[in-house]
Amino acid sequence: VSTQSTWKSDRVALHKNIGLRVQWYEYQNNGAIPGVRSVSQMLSNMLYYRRFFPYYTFNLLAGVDENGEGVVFGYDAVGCTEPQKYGCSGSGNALIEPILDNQVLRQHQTKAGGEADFTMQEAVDLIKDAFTSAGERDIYTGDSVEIFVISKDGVKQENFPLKRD
Amino acid sequence: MASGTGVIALKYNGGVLLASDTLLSYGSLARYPNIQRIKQVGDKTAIAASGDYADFQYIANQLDELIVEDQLQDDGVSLGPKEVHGWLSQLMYNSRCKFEPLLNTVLVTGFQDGKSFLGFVDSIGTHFTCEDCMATGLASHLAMPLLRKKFESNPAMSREQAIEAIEEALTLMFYRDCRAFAKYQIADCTAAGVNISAPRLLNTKWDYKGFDFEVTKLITLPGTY
Repeated sequence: VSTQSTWKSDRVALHKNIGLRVQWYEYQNNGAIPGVRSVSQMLSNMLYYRRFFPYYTFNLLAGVDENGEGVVFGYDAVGCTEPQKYGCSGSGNALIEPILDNQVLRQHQTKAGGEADFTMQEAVDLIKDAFTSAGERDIYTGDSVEIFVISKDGVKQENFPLKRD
Repeated sequence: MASGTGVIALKYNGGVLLASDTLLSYGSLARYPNIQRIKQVGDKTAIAASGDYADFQYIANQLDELIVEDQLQDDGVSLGPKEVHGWLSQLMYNSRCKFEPLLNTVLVTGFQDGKSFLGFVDSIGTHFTCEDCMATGLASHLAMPLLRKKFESNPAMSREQAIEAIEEALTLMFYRDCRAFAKYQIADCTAAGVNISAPRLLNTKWDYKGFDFEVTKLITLPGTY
């Protein structure tokens, strides 16, 4: 599952292109679905291909890899990426990133005891809290959040309403 | 550089309305007061745009050519609002990528597959479909809150209620937007096709004591706007 923030027309154009490329992969590989790491490399290449007229998008790609581990890839506008435990981008980026740093990596906590391990419910609750907090102070964040929960059993979509101001 | 001000659209139970005034402004000059700014595209779609009218005429010509090419195929399938919206969004996006943007914000309305359609395309290629109502230009600030409120309180409104809501929004736009005009047209897209009304005048109220000066008597005469 991939999502982007900012420039909507570039975002939609890129999204369509990614979709097309994944479809073609399936046609040419007997219906096999490309793994997250393959798509992440492809997206990086697609973005760098437009190095001198970039897609004005800041991407996040998330999925479950071949080992059954969840992984997130964050991108800049020209395709720089690496696998991460969490990521965020967009207008509320500066608001949410510190929350995740603290809760996932347990940064700035004494007696931390290492990085956190989340159950699905805990992760979804953390995301809902993060968006609610961002919505308080960021004028562009609001109305509702679409949450996609990706597990080895597939993708579940949930719509979480926020304050409409 | 003749340009039109905002256009608005509202879905109702059985179709969608698209409305605009009939004025082309030349900067602050109200230059051409009797221009139809709504265009029928094929037999199922109506479009209207705010912004540069020359670019809108270009878009209209391109869409006409598209419709003719499709009719020449004679395959029993005609282009509907969804196709027009998709094609137009690509036209606008590619123009923007070539640094020659079409300076319009377009609303695409129509009725297709038993459902009403309302789509938005920007001069930079931003496009999406709307479930309820939409407005462009200054109307997106003036009319949208009003249309949203009307829609939320009555999503399955009748055509008459929708026309009432649209006229209220157009009146508000005329009162508050200096480049708007009291003469307007409404296009109605239903399963039966597209029907663009003849131009008519809004009911506006000017008989306030504060406007009643001798030298401005013309404005308070009934029958003028």
